[in-house]
Amino acid sequence: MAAQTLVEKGVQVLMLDGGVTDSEYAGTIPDKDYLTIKQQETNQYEYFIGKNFEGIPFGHIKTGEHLTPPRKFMIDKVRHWMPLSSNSFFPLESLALGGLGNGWGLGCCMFSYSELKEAGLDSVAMNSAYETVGKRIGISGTGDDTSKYTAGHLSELMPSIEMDSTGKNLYQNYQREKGKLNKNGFFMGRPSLALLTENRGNRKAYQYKDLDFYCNQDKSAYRPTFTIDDLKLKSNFTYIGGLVVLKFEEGANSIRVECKRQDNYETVVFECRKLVIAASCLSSARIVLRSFDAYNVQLPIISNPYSYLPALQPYLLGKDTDQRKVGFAQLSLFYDPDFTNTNVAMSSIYSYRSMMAFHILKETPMSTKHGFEFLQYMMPAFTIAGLFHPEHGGPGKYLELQKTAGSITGDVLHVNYKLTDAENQKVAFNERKFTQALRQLSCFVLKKMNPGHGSGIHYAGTLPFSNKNEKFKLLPNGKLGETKNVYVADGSGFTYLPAKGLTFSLMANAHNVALNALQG
Amino acid sequence: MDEISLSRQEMGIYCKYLTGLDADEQCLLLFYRAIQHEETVLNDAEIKKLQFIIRNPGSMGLIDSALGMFNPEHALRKRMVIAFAILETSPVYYEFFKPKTFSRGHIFTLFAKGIQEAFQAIAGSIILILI
Repeated sequence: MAAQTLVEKGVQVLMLDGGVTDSEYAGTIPDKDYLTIKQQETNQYEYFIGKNFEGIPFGHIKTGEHLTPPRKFMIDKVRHWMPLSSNSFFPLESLALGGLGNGWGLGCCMFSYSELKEAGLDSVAMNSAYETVGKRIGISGTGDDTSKYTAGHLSELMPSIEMDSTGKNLYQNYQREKGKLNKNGFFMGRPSLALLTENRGNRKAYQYKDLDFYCNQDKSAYRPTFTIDDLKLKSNFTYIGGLVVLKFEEGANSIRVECKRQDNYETVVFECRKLVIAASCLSSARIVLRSFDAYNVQLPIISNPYSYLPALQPYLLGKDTDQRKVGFAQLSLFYDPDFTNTNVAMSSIYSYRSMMAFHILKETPMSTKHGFEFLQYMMPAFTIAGLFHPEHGGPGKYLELQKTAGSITGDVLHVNYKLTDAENQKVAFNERKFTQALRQLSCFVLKKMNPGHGSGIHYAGTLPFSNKNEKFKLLPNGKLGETKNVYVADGSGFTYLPAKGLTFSLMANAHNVALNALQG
Repeated sequence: MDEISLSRQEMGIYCKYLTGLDADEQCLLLFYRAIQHEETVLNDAEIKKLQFIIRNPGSMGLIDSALGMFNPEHALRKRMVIAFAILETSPVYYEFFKPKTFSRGHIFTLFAKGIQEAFQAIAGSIILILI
């Protein structure tokens, strides 16, 4: 998003990128819907379970394990080039062209005034940036009870996607129970998604193929690669992929950026007048720490605690009547206990089909045969609630770069992530509240799954905003402290992480930092 | 018996047991490739159990229940899940795996199957101890 802003302003932009692409599965999925593929395609195993069976979870589930084979390229080469050690934090990082945006769930939320303030962001600039970014990527949504939490009040909004029976039944129950739920601080509505429901240029309206976890043939779901593809057509934009940026060195008139080529490990150096780093907050921290030769220096990190609640809607048991299912979130449920739109916890509601039965069967304490008979009956009623909690930094949450001879970069990022007892209690309290609210909607939580810190893939705060010009801090305009022309345009500066989907705010901030870089 | 023949027999039994149909050639080949994963390699004791199943295919249900209920991390259970995943992604078995609508009364059938499952698991555990 920062690159687009700079290119639109007419400056010369060079993008240095990991640039990993999908060479294995691109173009292998036929242009058909999920059920038709299941019925007709002999080679469907290739993309559903993987050419090397990488889609079958053999052992303990780790972060990224849930990625389908055609999405696994997102995390290719990460262990090699971005080594990380931790026994308490399990993040997902990417060297892919378009980064983690390739698997983004598309949820677009706008932080409230108080959330922006707490995160260190300027509310006027951010609200203007939300509009700009919304127009660029295309957002569908609805003005409803949750508009103040989502992007449901943006000026340009396409209609929401249709819900399948999972969403329809739950929403119907909400309409009946909303008086009581609202009184307790719960609000349900349609999520704003970066998903087109109307044709727009070479991107088509959503086609309900239920292959959302596998491909994006119609380009209805926004992916950052679309922006990069468009930028590549501009004369003032140059893209170089296949690199890993290691560090920078700021001189009197220019900045020297040192990279390694992924193919032959050769060191390559580029020079620029201004540097905008947007490598995601873990990698931006790596680059900054290396650049200042700051090993064993602790930086803060924030990551939203995340859990998911598999649940059942008994009314839907045995009723598999949907030809069209939707893989994206169909509803959002917000818990705003003090009605201030701060410290709001958020749950996204999904149905379950195209991830197939074998993933759940593995967890069923029954024979495969009877287990599947139960699953076939239960699957239409399965409802998954992904639950995010708001998060502040703290003494137990930090990262540091440590030297090691064993890695290609000569270092490893060590991360420690520990919640305080009070924070753990708050998370558990919120989970209980959501379980109760869902029960009120006749949706019964079967189990609470906690995949560990970092699994929510929302990270921020490694180079927090500060009004002082300090090392390892960002000035409010995104400029890195004690530098003249280095800016950081990802979430590294955020000093608080609301539970609401982060990506839309990351894009808006990137746009603003790019504008600031032009002025600075 | 060599490794390939053993894997073909194993997949053949899983397929028949799960879907009532014979395993097609593609599924047999895929299963052999998939079980090369280190997490599913069998030790000597597990091979003995597999050979017992091959000699006595009727015991499949009992052993499947026992592993599912008491030992879900067992390599044989993991191989059954792999077989399931391969069959679920084959159009030959689409009719078996396709979404279905059930009558309200089906819950009683499932309840009966749940009870059957518990007895099977106990019987299967005894067999696994004895092998």
